[in-house]
Amino acid sequence: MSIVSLRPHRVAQLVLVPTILLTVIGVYGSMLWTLQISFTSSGLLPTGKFIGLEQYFKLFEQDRWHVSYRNMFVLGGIYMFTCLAFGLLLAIAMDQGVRAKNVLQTIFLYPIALSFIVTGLAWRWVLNPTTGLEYFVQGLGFSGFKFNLLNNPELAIFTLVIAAVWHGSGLMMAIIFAGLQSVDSELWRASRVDGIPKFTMYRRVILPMLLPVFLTCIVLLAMGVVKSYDLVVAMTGGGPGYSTDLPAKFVVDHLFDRANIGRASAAAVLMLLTVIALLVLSSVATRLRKHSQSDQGAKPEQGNKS
Amino acid sequence: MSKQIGLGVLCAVLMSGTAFAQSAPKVEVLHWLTAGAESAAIKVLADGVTARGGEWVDVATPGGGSDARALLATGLAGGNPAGVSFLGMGTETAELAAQGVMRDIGGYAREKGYLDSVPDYALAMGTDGTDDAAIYALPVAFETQNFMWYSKPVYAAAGLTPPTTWDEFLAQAPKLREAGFIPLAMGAQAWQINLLFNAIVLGEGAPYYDRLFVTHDETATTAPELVDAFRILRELSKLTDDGAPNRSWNDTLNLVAEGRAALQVMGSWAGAELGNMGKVYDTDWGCALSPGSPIVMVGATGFQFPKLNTPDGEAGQDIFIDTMMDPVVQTAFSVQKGSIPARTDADISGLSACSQLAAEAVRDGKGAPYTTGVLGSEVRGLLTDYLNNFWANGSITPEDGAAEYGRILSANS
Repeated sequence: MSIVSLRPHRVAQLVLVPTILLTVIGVYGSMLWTLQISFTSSGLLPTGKFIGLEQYFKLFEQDRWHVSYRNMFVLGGIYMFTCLAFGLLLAIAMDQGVRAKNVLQTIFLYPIALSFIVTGLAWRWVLNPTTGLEYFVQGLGFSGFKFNLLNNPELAIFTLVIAAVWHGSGLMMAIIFAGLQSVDSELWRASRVDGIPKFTMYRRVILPMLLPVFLTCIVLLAMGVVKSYDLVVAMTGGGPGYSTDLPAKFVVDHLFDRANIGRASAAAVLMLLTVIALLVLSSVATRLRKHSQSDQGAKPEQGNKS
Repeated sequence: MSKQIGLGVLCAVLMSGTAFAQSAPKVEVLHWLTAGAESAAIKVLADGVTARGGEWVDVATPGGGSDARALLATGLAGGNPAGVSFLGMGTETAELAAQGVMRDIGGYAREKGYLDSVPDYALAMGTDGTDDAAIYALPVAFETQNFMWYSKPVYAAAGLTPPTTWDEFLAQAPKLREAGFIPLAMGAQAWQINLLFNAIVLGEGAPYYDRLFVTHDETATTAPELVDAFRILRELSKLTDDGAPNRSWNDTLNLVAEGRAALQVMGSWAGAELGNMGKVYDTDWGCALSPGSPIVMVGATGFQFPKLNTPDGEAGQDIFIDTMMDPVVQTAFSVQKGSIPARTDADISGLSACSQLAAEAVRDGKGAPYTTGVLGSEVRGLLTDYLNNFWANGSITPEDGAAEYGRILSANS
């Protein structure tokens, strides 16, 4: 009787309780704990005294933190843009029905099956001037050939971009391709009747329709950027110097090797704040877009009625 | 990594299960000496503990020091740490002792006369820095940090002899280059750059090294010796090959082993690695203390002793101390590990030629503590970061480098 009297949505809520509890304790509890630690002088053990914002002040005195924080945006910006661009081009090529589509798709998708550690190691060998591309080309007889990005503190960050784009564009291709396939074929037929060039069709009709797909892609890529740690460790170790350091690596280094969990927590909190800021920005952007869409959508309807 | 910690905990639980049947004092030993020669070294200690009537409980973290540190921190936070914990001795022990979680074993060790032949600077690494009577960690062996490993064939081919000062090496470098060799084998990772730089500072003279790092003499941070050290570091940064960034120390050592590079500055652990590579001492490679000053930069490896609340915990720790401070055990341990005994009265005749060289220097008082033992982890991290950056960015002048390094050092000590 009593079971029957429960409404379905109440049952669903009850089922969700353990998950919600786990999330609240495991995720938000840990966040609060990290926040609390970041206000203490904790070293190896989380038992330090309360020292207010001092860990944050010291963090901002560290040039290494500034470099790694800036790198997150440099790497993130170039990586996300290049990955999307490559993914889009590949997806359109697939959509246009190139030959041996399935084989190519497998080839482009394959890198995503490798972990970042393997990706990083492989690219490190390729880009290392004494073992990789430079050595190979010089061996072919072009002794003046130089390809030495890994040694240059200003350019080494781009080696990470190369490896990450190689790793990620296949997945972007797959997602965008799925989006393109879902476009109604009637649309294409209509465009042919009207004689609209393909380029214009993509630019003005198809791609705007796929905006939600691009948003998914951007969220996926952005998460990858914020948490990227293994790629740097495998490829450059943050070097030369600390020119390719990333916040996640900064945090882990201070957490374990430097035995300074107070500083590490402060850096982690700043990472979290950055993510929250980006989330707020993107949700505001989506809301604005919805507003302008519903405004545009409302007008013709009224016109029809009158 | 959590998997490895899990495994470690599992091992501990399984092994402690068997302990209830016996009455021997149990001693849990947390360490990461699991690879080849190192595990043979830890077995020397385990056998010694068993022979003295203790029960050895092995808690190994194959993942290395970070894992062991995490496990120790968890154990301490939970009030149930391993009774004995391996470590590269340094200010970390002092940080833990300040929290009141470590046992002062100074009284016991002094009473037994274990400390008389251990150099003072090594004992100081196990204190909390304030009260010299209290000791929380003891050294079992010293790892020489500043060996110069050189390739005999390379020096023979270039018609040169291994350098005794850094300036001599800088003068040799063009000739080595001309003969087709890499003058300096270097893995440009932060810790390796730091190790090289500290060896250069030691080359400026032991008294200067002492003023800069040990006694924290304010005038040392602006002294011309520091500028000179940075000048040498800058010159050295140009003498390596393009493959240096982020190269591990053993890949780098391979350049010396293969006769492609002239020399590498690296700790005593490189000697065992050269042996593993199948290279023969005195025909393929040779060793000497780093150029400039025949002083051993002493890295102490030892054990620290957390406070325990189990009834036979301290008895187990005492048995362990009896074992590790026995000169015979220390020699056997170092023979396996390629280090030198912490007690200067221990027999060194069984050690390798390079280790004997270092052991004799330490016995003669020519030893200085490595920076891990005298600088806090915060300032050490900042200095290492700075050196790493200096090495990579050729645009920073030695004068600017020395000024900034000195500023960081004096602001944080």
